[in-house]
Amino acid sequence: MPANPHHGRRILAIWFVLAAIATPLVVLVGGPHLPPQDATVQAEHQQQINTILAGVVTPISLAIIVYSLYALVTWRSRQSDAGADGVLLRGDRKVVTWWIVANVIIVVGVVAYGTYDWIGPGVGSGSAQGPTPLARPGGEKPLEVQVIAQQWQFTFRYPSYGGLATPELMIPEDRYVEFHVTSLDVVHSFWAVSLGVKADAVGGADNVVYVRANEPGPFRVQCSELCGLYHGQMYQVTSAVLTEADFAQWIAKQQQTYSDIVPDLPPYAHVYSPTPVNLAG
Amino acid sequence: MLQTVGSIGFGAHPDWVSYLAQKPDGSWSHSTNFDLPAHSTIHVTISQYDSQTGLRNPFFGHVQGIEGGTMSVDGKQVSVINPSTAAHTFAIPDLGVMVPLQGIADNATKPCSSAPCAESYDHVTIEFTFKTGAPGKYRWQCYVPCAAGTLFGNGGPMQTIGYMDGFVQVA
Repeated sequence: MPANPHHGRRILAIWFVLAAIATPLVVLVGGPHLPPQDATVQAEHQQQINTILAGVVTPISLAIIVYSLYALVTWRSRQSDAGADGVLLRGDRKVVTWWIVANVIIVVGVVAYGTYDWIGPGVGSGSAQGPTPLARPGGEKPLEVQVIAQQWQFTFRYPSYGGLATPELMIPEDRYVEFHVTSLDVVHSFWAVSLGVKADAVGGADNVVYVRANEPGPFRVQCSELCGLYHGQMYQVTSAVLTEADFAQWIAKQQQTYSDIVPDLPPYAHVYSPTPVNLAG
Repeated sequence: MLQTVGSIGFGAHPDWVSYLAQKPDGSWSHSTNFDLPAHSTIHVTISQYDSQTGLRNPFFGHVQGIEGGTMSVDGKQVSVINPSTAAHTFAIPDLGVMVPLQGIADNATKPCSSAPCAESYDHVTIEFTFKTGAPGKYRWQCYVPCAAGTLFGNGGPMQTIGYMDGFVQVA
């Protein structure tokens, strides 16, 4: 072993070999298993981003691990070093420059890609965008569905079907859905996990998210904002993606079931006053 | 047999709104945890003594998940009440049960001030039937913001087991 081995080159070589093996494994083998899978167009994009982030993070993590282990083994304290301190490292311009440049490239690259993927493809976003979304899907007019949260249940309204209100959430496949999320009391969060949809539900605010489901099947909705005693049980039991025909059938059934409450419902609006009709007491 | 009262009249929070349950011997228990048999038909009678508050979500003025799709309100079969006249609801979300409870009129002449309330006081009698389904522990709650003086009317008794919510243990 030479008296002054090239530690940097050794570390770089070990890191390069491990990264060359691990990164493709993480991306190609682990990537397809990352959430939220491919139930919707939005979920596909989120999974793609998660895979790319995992691919970026893998060599960075390996660099930290390799350096730490190398340091532990190579520069560990020996009996002959008793009482001696290590070499003081300060002001290494080369290391600092590389560190800053690498971080800037990674962060700016991720931001640029994320921004492009958010707006560029024109598929809307499964993440909330407030009342005037920047990322909107092109083409057909989306089906508008309102999500109303309250302690501790979600209900839904379909304005294009006479303002129908229902405790169930059904959406058609292969059609854009525009969720308008609001709350009647405290802050909740509407999270349709496998759809890749998540939006805070805030009283007096309209939060818009988009989704386009690829195929029929059930999905789970739950609240993801701590909202009181029964937050943990605030989930929607009956929710699914239906074929166009099944959706039409379901709508007809809901309209029939809840026809006699329609006159008592407020006109459809994107927000409702959270004040009760009469004050308790 | 249940009753709802505007103020419980005893205990740590005598001015809190509450449910009570009647025991087999006819006495009233301040409890909101009920044991029910699985896959059974349960007939519920609620004597509702509280005044009208109004539903924050008018949709809950429609009954859901009960046998026949209607409930009896003072002997009259209805599937919906005026949401602004609701005093409370009895809801078991996981079983799909939602029953709005109509409040007594604002000009009631003999309101009950503390529990348990006798039949002689002004009240509305609500009856309905539902099926319990599979064994499990199901939460139930009121959806009317009836906790006066709390955030959005949903604090205090609305977030305390034993008052306006509890559990149904189906076994």
